[in-house]
Amino acid sequence: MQYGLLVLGAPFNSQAPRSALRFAKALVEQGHQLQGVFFHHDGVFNASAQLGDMPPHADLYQQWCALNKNHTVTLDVCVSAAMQRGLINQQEAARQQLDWHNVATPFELTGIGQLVDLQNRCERFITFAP
Amino acid sequence: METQPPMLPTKLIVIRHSPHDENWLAESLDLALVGAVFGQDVVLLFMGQGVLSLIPGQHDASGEPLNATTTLKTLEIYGIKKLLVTNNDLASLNIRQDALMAGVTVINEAQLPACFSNADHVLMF
Repeated sequence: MQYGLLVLGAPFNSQAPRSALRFAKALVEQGHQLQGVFFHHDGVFNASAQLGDMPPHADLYQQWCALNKNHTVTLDVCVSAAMQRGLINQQEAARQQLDWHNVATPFELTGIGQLVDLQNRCERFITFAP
Repeated sequence: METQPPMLPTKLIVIRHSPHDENWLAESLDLALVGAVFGQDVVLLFMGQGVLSLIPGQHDASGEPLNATTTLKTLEIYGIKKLLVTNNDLASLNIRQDALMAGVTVINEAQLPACFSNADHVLMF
């Protein structure tokens, strides 16, 4: 079965991302296909490379990256929600003439249309929210 | 032979947070509007503290009208006409139906399961 996940909680104030990751691992172990994970609201903080360097959250960041690498799961991040929270990738940083960025592959900044598309491709779509 | 127009997928967005709680309401309405633009039949279900979003005339801490509640008034332009709330949630918050903005439909708890089972896509905010 084709699954998609929506994550709305940050690593530092919500269990939602860890629950989503455990669910994702269970899905692929049982032979289901996880099409993608979409991060919105405070869930966009899961894409922060800086948070990913901090010991309390490093394992979570690495597990998202491993999910992408091992199972080709897309990790899409709402660009609007991300930029409101000070999260930006290299491409957007160049557009805004900033000399820093804190979102990198495998996380991709995308529009909400990508969420609609992901939902359309999945038979089951689960929200993990605080 | 007359052909039927294709059925639009129904997207149910459940709004559970107060309009004063960060920007939950604004970000859920963004998704509602994008869904409508993509041709989906969007239904908004307000639950718990989310019901407070439906009370008109609210302001933020600086005294400005809440942007997100202003957006609620424009939903009909995008074809979003189904704003639902349960009578139990109204009763638990001691809110009368006539205190809500126009166009809200009050349903009972028994109708709630059908809201979810009739939706092709569900998002919880």
